[in-house]
Amino acid sequence: MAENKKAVKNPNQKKKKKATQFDNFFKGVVRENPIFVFLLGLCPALAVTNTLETALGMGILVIFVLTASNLVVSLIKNLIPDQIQIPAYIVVIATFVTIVGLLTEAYAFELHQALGIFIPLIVVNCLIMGRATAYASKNGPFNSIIDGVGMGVGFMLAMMLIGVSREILATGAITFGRYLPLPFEVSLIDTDMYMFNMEVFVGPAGGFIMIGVFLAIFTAIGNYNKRKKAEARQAWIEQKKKEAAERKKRKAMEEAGDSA
Amino acid sequence: MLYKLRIALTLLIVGLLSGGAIVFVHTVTEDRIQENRELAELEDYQEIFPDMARADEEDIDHDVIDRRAKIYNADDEQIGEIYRGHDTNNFGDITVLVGITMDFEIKQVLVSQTENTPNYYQDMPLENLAGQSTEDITYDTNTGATASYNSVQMITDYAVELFYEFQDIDLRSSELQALETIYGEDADDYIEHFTFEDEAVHTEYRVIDENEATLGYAYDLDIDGELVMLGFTPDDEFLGMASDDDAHDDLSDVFADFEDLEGDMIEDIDVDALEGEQAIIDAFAFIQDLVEDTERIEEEYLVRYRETDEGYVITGFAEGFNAMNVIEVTLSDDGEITNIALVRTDDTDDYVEDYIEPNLDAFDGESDIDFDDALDTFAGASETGESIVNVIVAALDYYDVLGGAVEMIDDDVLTSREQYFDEDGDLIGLLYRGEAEGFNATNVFDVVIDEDGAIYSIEIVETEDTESYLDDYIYPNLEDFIGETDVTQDETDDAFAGATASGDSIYEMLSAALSYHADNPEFGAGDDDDEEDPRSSELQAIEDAFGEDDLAYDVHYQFPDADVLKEYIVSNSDGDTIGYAYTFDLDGAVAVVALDSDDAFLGFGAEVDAQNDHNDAVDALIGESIEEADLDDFDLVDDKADALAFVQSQITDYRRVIDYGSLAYAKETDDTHVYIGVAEGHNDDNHIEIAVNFDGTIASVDLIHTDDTNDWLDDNIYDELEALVGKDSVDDLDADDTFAGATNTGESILEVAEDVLFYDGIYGGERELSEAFGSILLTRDHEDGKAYTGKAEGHNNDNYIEVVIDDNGEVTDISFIHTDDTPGWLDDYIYDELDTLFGKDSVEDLDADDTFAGASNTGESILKIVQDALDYHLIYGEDYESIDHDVLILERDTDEGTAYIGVAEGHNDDNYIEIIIDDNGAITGASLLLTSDTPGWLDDYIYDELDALIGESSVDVSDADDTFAGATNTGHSILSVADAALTFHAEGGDE
Repeated sequence: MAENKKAVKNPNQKKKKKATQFDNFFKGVVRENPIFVFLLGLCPALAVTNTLETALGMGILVIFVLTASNLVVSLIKNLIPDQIQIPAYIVVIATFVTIVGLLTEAYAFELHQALGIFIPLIVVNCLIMGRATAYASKNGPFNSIIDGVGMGVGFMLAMMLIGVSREILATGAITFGRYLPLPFEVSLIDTDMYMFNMEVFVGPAGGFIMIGVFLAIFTAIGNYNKRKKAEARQAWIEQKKKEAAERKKRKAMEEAGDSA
Repeated sequence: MLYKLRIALTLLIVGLLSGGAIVFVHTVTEDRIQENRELAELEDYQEIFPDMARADEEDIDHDVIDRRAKIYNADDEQIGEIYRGHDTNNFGDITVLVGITMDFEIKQVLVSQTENTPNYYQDMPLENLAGQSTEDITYDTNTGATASYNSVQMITDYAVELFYEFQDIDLRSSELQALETIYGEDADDYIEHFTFEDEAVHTEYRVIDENEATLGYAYDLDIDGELVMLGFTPDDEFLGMASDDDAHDDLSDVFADFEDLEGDMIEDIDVDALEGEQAIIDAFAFIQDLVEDTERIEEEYLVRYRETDEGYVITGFAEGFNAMNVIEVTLSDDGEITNIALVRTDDTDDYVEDYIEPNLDAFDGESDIDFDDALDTFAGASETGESIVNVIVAALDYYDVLGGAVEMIDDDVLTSREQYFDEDGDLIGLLYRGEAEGFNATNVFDVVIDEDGAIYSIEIVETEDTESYLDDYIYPNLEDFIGETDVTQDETDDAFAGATASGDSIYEMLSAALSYHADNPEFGAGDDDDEEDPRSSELQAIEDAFGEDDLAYDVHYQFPDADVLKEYIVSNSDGDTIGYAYTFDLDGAVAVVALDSDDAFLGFGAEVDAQNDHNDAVDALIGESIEEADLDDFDLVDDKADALAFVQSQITDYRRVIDYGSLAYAKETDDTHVYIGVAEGHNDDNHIEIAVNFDGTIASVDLIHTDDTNDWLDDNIYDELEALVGKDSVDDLDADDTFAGATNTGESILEVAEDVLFYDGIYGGERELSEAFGSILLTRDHEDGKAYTGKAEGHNNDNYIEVVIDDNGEVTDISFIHTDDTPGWLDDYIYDELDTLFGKDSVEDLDADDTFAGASNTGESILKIVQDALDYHLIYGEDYESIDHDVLILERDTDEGTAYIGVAEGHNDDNYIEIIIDDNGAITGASLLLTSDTPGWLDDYIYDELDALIGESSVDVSDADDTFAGATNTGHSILSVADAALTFHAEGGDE
């Protein structure tokens, strides 16, 4: 007769849950960065990263839209029939984009003018629709919020990285307060780099170049890490093999000693 | 149902919630957004006018401009105005602010808000507009942001217009003010048509509306320093006179004297009886003479023309070295230049004497000139020379209109049409030229509509679309419309997807041409006396000879260096060949010798201008076989006699080969079959004669006509021809190898050789042409009986199959004379199955899918040919004599008498009926040989009644209802044939 088995609580389970939430957030920043890993949202990444401030502004807007739409999609996912999932999600995303557009125009008018057509274009940012269908429609509201924030932050940081690079190379300076509704306007960095007249980095070509450069760097880093991991694992396996061989030898010797 | 309801409800709720959220946020933010916009706008105002202290804004009711702001400086002086305009272009909305100073200068133009792509609109050179006078604004042409810049341009123009309006300044010229008084609000602009020198009027203007349609013509003169305009309709009806707004009222009394003339045609005005301002009376007199003596021309560089006894004098107006030159070109009735005069010029006398006058005679006698060559004539006086050449070229082109060769069309799209002929000079149809707005600019098209009203060709004559754009989106799809008689917008939208604007222009052109052609199929509408025959000379002659209309003709052979020029196959409107025509020259006119399909002489014919009774001298020959006629009996003019003799020898010596590749003729000699073929060679068509031995090998190859030189032929061809002798196939020969250095001519020779061997393989040997019967082409005697060769479409191409039928009327053998099916495939699917047909006297009950499973197409062709052969054998299998009769087709001798076979329409289809009549004129046999009536039906209604005819020596066709009760149609056919046979037999047959 089979032994009755009882479910045993895993004392480590709680720890694992915490790690999952953090991982959920952090994955969007590094491991599953929308721009440098998934290559999503490249249109705004090229168009509005000519300055750090506009990149930051767009990033904030995307965080808001992504988080809000993830939450709402997660809440209504069981109410929406499969056939109309996509159009329903699009309506939700478009609603938040419209709201964000109105709020920007009301409270950050210069940013609204600077971002222009790219605010309404957030609707067609595949990152947002992608997370809605790939994650929010399959997970609970809280996890969806975390995912949205994480992905949004990752998107924003990536945009800022591109933006700061382009602005410095093109103008030699980083200015702040021109577009965002801040009570000051300041130049964070001011160099003589503008003398090199690298205005190409202001335009689309510059955007492509910078994205390409960063992609190359991150891919190289990622490949290096992968290689290191693989080497480490290989070394660990070899070690394990050695230990097993030692154990076998010992056992054989013991048996030989006994029989002797 | 419930599920669908749930879906609808869900979407509705989602939509309502979304809408509600947006409305809420919008309500909360509305005021603040408006504030921000206004602040931003004020900042924009500040940017335009840095000295601005305040702005007084007012809303404007206008389609484009919605706000006007008066700008004041710190001293409260108005320093300018800003106009805000909106437009929606291909890329979205755009709002533009236009700042104008009180000195009538553009201060600055900037884009306030827009959805247009930033990279485009931000690069627009708006700074170029700043500082320009509002009276004459120059816009950049190459901005890289066409849509956005067009919006800026439009808004700027409207802003300037409103600015002037608000400043109470009339932007219109004096001339336009006067013209608007005469023609009303429709008058939008005017074009200087001609300026007169020292005449009662200064200038003739063409008045146009906003669509550039002509409203009329006006003439200006001065009265006490004030402009006076006399306005007429395009037909020269007087509309009225006016001056500019400032002077019009002052001159109202002067104008009142002539008010009664309004509505009169200029030629009807009695100038001598006029009273009033003399300058105006002189103007009327001048205009009257002008209109009576000359006709106006609305073509570039041309002004007027007048007809003279010698031809036409065309006056042109073109820009020269100093000013506009007036040039007169005199053309004869034949369109040749007889004189050119520089009537008016500002060039100095010495200049004209040295560089112009000596060269004006250079064009005398010309009816067509090359523009660049003509310019060279005036070396040293290029600008004046160019003005003269422009006028000459335009005048020569216009002669086509005057002469009737070109018909001008007053249409939104179409401009003209003319007859279109192919390379052989045959009339194809009418060529329509027209214009329609395309992607970049106006596209000019030539569309040919053939005589059936279908599109024959489409050509883009002028366009600013790039070649790559045309190659990618336009040219590949133009062919889709060839042959169409109707075009829909959907069809062009589909065909030119990705090129909508250009596709729309093509649709406009095609539909305009087809529609106009349908309404006006006859070219040169006007007096019947002036109407030209649209048919080609050849068709005129052919229809004259055959005595029929709506005929068609195709070239069969072009005779090199012969009395007869070409042989044509003539067909009727049903496409049936009715005969042959041979063209020859009859005192410079096109004439033909006409033969019917059996080569009986039909008569002569000629083109309309040369038609008279050609056939009175040859009446006796009409209807006779051309081969057997003794032409010496007829007294004909040399051209006719030579042509007739040539045709006779051609028909006697050769047999036509029709629709067999390059082959034209064949004949038999004692030991060869000789074929003549035509194929394109190095320079032109080569006529090649190839003789084939009876064993199917080539005996000789001759180039009987070629444009290649003898030396070249000696070097490259003649020796190589020997390589073909003795061959029964040329498939393994390559023109590049066999005729190295003479590939084109070599290819033409091999092409003809290949066709010859193919044709000879089928038609050579002992096979003879059969009677026309289904798929059967040839017959020959066979040791087992008769062999019949038929042609039917198979798996790959036509199959030529020979069927041997024995004396019992059964199939004994079937073989492929020619097929494109592979031997392996035939082995797999055909050959084994052929055995099932042997011994059969009918294959009608066999199905190709069953008998030749997996080879239906070839199987069908086999069954068709076999059945046709069996049927043919039934009719023609034994010796017979053909009969030329409406009903009877042949007779043959039998033991029971003379058998007559006739064809008459029966119950389902034609019936072939045999009636045998003995020497006493009585019917001894009656049978249905071929019928589509069913056996059961025949048993019930026919066979017994047939027997009832035996012994009769006369029949009454009207008795069919009684004799063949219940089978009237078939009965009628039987009695018709019986009656015809009895009558024919009684009359002694075909003696």
